[in-house]
Amino acid sequence: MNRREFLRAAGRYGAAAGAVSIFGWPVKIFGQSTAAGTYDLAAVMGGEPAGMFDRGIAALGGMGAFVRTGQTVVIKPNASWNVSPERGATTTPALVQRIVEHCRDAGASKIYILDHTIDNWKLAYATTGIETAARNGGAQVVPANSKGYYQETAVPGARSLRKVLVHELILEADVFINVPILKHHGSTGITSAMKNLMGVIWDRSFYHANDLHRCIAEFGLLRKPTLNVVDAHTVMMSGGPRGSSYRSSLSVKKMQIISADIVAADAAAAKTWGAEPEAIRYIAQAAELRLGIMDLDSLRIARIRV
Amino acid sequence: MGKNSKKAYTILRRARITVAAAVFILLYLSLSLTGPLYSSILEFLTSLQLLPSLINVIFAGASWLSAGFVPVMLLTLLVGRLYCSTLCPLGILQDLIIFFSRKVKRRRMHPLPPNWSVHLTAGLLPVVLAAAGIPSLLGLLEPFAFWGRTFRDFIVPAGALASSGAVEVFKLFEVYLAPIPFRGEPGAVALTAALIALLIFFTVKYGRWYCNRLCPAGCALRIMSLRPVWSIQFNLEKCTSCGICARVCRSGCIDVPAHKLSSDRCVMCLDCLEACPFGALDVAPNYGPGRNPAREKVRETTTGAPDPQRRKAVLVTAGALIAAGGAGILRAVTGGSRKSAGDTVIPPGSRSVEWFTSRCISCHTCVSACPTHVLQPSFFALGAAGFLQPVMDYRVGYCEWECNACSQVCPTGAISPISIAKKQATQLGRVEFVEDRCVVFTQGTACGACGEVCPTQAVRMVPYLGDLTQPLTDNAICSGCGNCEYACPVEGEKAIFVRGIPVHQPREVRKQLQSEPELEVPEEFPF
Repeated sequence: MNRREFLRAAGRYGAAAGAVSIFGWPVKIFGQSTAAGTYDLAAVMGGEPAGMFDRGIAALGGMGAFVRTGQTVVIKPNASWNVSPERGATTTPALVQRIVEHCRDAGASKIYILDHTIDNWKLAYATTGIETAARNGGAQVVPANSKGYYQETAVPGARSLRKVLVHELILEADVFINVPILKHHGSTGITSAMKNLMGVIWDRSFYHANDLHRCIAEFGLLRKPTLNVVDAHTVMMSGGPRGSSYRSSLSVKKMQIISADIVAADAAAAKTWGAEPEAIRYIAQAAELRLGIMDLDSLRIARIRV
Repeated sequence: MGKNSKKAYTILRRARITVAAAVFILLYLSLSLTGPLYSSILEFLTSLQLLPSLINVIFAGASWLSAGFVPVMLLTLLVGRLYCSTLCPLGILQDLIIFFSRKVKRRRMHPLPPNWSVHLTAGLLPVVLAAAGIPSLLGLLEPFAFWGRTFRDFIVPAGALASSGAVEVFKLFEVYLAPIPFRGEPGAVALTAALIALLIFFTVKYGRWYCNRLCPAGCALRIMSLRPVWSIQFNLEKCTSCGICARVCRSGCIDVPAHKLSSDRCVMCLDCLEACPFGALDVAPNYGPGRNPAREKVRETTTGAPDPQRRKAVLVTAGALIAAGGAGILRAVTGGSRKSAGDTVIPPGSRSVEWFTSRCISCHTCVSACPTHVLQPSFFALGAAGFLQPVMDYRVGYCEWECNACSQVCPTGAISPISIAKKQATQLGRVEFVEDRCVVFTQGTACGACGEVCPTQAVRMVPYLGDLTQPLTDNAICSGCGNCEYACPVEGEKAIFVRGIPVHQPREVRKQLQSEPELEVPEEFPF
C-alpha cells in the first residue's frame, strides 16, 4: 500500500467512523472539549486583529490546547484574490502571522500555509501580504495550484459532495486552522469559515454546478478544522466576495470570532454581518448534518472587549 | 599569417560560442522567469531580432531605441552574418543540434548547392505577404517565431513534466514546490513538434540548411552580406586544397576546388579558421588597400563565366520588391484584410483585429509570458491568414486584472505596450448571459461563480427567488476579461461568455460608491 492509497483508505474508513479522527491523534477527537473546558467560542471586539487573537485564544485555553509539541499545522487563510489587504477581500496578514507565532510557541514542528486561490496564486500570495506575513511568522508557504497535490477522497454520508479532491496537507497535518475573513457573498449571502474551505479543494466548479450550499456544508463530513478564526475586523458588506471599487462597501467592525466549532463560528459570523444563521442555507444544512451547533444561545461564549 | 593569427581565431571562435551560449541561456531564463531584470533582458534580446524589430519600429510605431535591426544590418554589412551564429536563437539551436549530432557520430554533412531562386522565393514571399497584411507565412518561417514556438510547445512542456517529477521527490522531504505549469492546445504542440523534427533532420543532414533555404531573415542577410567589408577568404599561397575547411563548414559555403568561400551563405561560425592546419583562411577586407591580393586571382579565374544563379537572383529580387510595393499599396487602399474575427477575443493592447492580425508573427512569446494561460495559439479562429496567432481562450484561463505581461513582451508591437491602468479601462469584448443554461435556472440551486470573480461588477448577483441570486450584466462597464466565462461551471456551452469586438474601446469606469470604510464597531455583541 503506497502513501496515496493509505491516505485514501484512511480518509474513507477514518471519516466513516464518524467522529473518530482520520489519523487518530487525540487532539482532533477531543479538540472541542479540551479547549480549556470553559468556552465553546470566543468573541473579541474593539482591537486590531493580532491583538484580538491574543486575547481570544487565551480565553480558549491558549494555543497549547489545540497544538501539541511536535505536531504539524496547516493554516488556511483567505488569500484568494490578487488585491491588497485593505480591500477587505482577504485575511489580515498580521492575524495570520500572529497565529503562526502562537503555533510555533506551542511547539509545532512544521507550519504550512496554503490557499487554492482564484486569481493567479503567485500574484495573490504576494499582493495579499499573506506570503510575507507567513514567512515572517516562521511558516512554509505551500503552492496549492497544481492538481498533483490533491487526493481524491470519499465524503461519507454526503449527498452532493460524494467525493472530492483535497489538498494532501489538509488530510495529513495534525492540526488544521481555518482563518477566513467575513464578507458579503453574491450567491451564498456571506462567506466565512465553511465557505473558506473551498480553497482546500481542487474543483470549485463541481460545487457550483452541484448545489453550492450543500457541497459547502458536506465538506465538514470529511474534515473539520481544529480551530476557526474568523477575521471580522474590516467586513465587506456588499459587492463580495471579490469586491471592487464600484459597488462594494466596507464596514470596520473590529471583531473576531474564534471557535473549534465551525458551525458556531459561522453562526456568530452571520450575526456579526447582519444575517440570521438559519437564513444562510449552508449554515442551516451543516447544523442539520450535526457538524456543529448553530444555536448560539446554547453555547458558552467568552465575550471579550479589548 | 602565422601562428598568432591562428591563436586569435581560436579565441574569436570561442568568443562566438560564448556570446551565443549567453544569448541562448539569457533568452531561456527571461522567457521562463518573471521580474524586472528578466523582462529588461527579454526586451533587449528581442529588440535585436531582425524582422521582429523591423515590424515593431516601421509598422507598429515603436521607438527607434528598439530598432535593433539597424545595428544588426550594419554589423552584417561589416562582417557578414554574425547575427546568425550569435543572436538568432534558432541559429544557435541548430548549432547545438550540430554539436550533439557530431558528438554522437563523426558525420560529414552534405551541403546542398546554393540555390538563390529557392531562397529568395522562400525568403521574400512571406515578407511580401506580411506587407500585404498577412504575416502568417512569415510567422511560420521567421526564426525568432520558430524558436518562440519551440520554447513554448516543446521546452515548457518538457520542463513541466520534469518539474512535476521533481516536486514529488521534494515532497518526500516536506518541501512543497510548484511545478512549472503548462496548459495548452495539443494541436499546436503537435505542429511545433513536427516542425522541430524536420528542422533536426535537415540540420543533421545538411547543416545550416534552413538558414540558407527557408529563413526570411537569412535571406535578407544573405543579400546584405554578398560583399561585406571583411569576410573569410582563401590565401592561395598557403592552401593545399586538403578540404578540411569544407568538412567542418555547417553552411556549405566553401568551394575548395575554386578556392571560394561565399560570404552570403557563411554564418560566421569561424570553425574553418580554427580547423585549417595551414592558416590558409583569413578574415580579410574586401575593399581598400588591405585587400587580399590572392583573392584577385580567384576573381580573375571566375569572372569569365557569368553565374546564372545570380541572374535569377536579381530577377526574383526585383520581382519580389515590385510585388511588395504593390502589396503595400493594396493594403493602404483596402485598409488591411481582416476587420472582424467573429467572436474571438484578442489580447489587451492589440487595439483591433486589423492591427493585431497584420503584425503578429506567432512567436508565442506572449503565450509563454501569460500567467493565467488564457493566451493560446489559434488555428483558424482569426481566419486562415491568422494561422497560429494567439487569442484569448476563456475556457483555459481568464485575463488577470492586474497584469499586462503580454503587451510587455511582444517583439513586433502586435500587442502594443499598454499600462495596467489603461488596460483596466479598455473593453476587449462584451459579456453575454444565457439564462436557459445557467445553473440557478436549470437546477434552482445557488451558484454565482461568474459574479464572484468579476473584477468590474459588470456581472453581479441580484435577487431572484427566495435567497437565490441571479447574474445581471452591464456591458457599459464590462472589460471582457473572461473571468465569468472561465468560472462558469456549466458543461459544454457556457451560460455566460464574452464576445470579442473588432476594435477595442474604452469602457465606462464608474465612480466609487463609497471610498472610505465606515467605522461601525457595534456597541453590544450581536449574539
